[in-house]
Amino acid sequence: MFERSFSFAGIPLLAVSQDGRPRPTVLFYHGLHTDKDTHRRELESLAQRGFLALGVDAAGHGGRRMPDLSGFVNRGPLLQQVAKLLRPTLAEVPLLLDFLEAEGYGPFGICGISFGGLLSYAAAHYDARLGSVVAILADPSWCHPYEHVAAYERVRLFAWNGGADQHVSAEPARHFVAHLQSTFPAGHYDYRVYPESDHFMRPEDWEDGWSRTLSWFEAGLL
Amino acid sequence: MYVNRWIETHAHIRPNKVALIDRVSGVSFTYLDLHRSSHVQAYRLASLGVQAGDRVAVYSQNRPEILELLLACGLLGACLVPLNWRLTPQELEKIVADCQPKLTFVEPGLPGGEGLQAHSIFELQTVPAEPVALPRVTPETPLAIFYTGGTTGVPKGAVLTHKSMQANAWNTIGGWGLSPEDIAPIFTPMFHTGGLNVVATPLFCLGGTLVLPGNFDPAKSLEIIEQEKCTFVFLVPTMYEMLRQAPGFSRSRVAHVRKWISGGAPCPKTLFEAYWGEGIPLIQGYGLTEAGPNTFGVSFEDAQKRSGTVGVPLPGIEVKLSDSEGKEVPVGTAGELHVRGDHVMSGYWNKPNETAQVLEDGWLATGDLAYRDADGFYYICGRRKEMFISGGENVFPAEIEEVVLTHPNVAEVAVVGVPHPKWGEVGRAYLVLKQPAEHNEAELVEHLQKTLAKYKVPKEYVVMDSLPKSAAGKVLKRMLMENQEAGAAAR
Repeated sequence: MFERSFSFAGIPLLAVSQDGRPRPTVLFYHGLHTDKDTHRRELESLAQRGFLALGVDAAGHGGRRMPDLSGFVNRGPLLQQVAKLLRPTLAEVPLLLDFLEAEGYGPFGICGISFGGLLSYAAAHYDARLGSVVAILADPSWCHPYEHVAAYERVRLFAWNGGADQHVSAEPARHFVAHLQSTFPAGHYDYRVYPESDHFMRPEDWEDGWSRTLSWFEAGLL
Repeated sequence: MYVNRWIETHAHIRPNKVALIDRVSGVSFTYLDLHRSSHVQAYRLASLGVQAGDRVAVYSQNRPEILELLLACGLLGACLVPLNWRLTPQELEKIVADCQPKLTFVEPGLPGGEGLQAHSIFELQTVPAEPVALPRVTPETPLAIFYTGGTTGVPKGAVLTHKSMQANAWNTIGGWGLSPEDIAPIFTPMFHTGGLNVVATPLFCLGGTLVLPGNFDPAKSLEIIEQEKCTFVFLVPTMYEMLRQAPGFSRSRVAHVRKWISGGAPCPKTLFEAYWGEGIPLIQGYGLTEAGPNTFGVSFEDAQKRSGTVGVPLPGIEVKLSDSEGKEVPVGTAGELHVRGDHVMSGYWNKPNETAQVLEDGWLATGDLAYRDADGFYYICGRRKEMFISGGENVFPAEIEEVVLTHPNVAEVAVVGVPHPKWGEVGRAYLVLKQPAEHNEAELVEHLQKTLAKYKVPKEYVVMDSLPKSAAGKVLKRMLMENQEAGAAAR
């Protein structure tokens, strides 16, 4: 397995693939207070399926972590503070895709968990090169996706949540996916809720969701 | 012509060349990255209200953000003021009151910064970066203010313009023979010109690579020099002493370093000899905040052959040595060193009178005494204000200190002139000893008399646990004198 930690434009990255050669690529964004190395197992499983899995440290995290990140996040309404980290991270997505495209990588997908899931919803309409999107344990409302519905027509979106999640309601994601399904009947959208899982999912639910995620990217990018 | 053009040019010509490696975070920046990130930071500063002519202060250890902020200020026509985090809150207050920054960024958790009205340097990454039109920047636009005066009293802000930093970079590249392949760690703090302008900005100008190793730890620093295959090392003498004593230090581990320069304070001859004995070509640099700082260059061969020389002026720098009446002194005679060139500061911030005292017709009076040999090589004798007259003879403390340090029991020394009823002034040596219990003053005097004329041998000796030093590692002689006088008054 090829694995390389490096940075581009000051963004710390962890690339995992079978051999480092150009291939379909999935950008992977972690949750709040974690970093690109946290989901190494998921990156490796993406690589085993034939992708370049690119873990990215979001603003304020990992290699560019704020020592006072908790203080920053708690300084105001949570979503308002989190959005201050999401916006610069989102602004970097086109830069990363430019870089990868120039190196011959593609097509592109994006996957994110919780904080990363929020980013994935927004990135889906922010950069048209992202054809396949998986948003996990996230609520799309923060980026006002109904105002950008047209941009989702070309996107294959799979969202999954925990039904017992005390932090992130599953309903907004379910509603948004249902809205896309009715608006674009020929599109590819899927939603799954795991009723007994909260924000830290039951292992069996996680395995099932992740297995479907791999299949989703295979269908969309390979 | 301007500092930002360096980065822009490299971003186009060699976009993937690594410009900066931050060993603390593991993040590195290519020239294209740095070009982009400096623009992003400029837009962020603009969205926080920074405009051309404003000052932006930063209170942080060496981090990529300081370099990004410098470049961002350059793009906006603003001026960066790196604040010394070794100062007391009262000293910082004076500097902030003097330069009145539009914004101040601090590294949270860095002691001493609590009293500053500031933003977290880490939170700068969360500020929106909407592109704005950038103003026209001229060569005379101030780019950085470095506060100096730790050894002489009230801090004065030396203003370096785009032109002066450009000239320093060119002088250094040409005079020291820097190459785009050079890789240099920045161990000295960037709140001093030594941290930012001895190597960092010249290498950016040239397209070389900087390494930010974090805090200086001898063993770790040695490891980083080795791992990053550094080719150019600049340290202050204290750091050189610590590095030499790091476990596993040997020439073979650092053989790729082709240039070793000591600066910030006079380097004892014993330390040079220790490095030379290892086969490491350490040489003495000389510079000052108000000019560059880089002023002279010397080959290793000449450094060995002409003990104590700082070399010859770098290209683009005029030098003259003057007596107290302003007349140039002949070869071999000490005079005050004056330098002229585009690398010289535009003046002290908000201090026209102090500026006029040191700048005349472009000549900067350095306050340092030096002499020139018949071949044109220069030798620094010490500070003009430190020179004292004993029995009608000029005495240069630096010369005496050099000799005192050859005594095996002396770890550190500072010599000052004190009033004397018979000789007018005599030398007083403040000593830090390796084995205080073994101190024998008579034996030390005998040792000095072997090398020094009698009038140069200090008449008084004070043993101390340590010497007070500035952030740059310079001994604070004024503080030594004040403490001594206060002690005498109390007695």
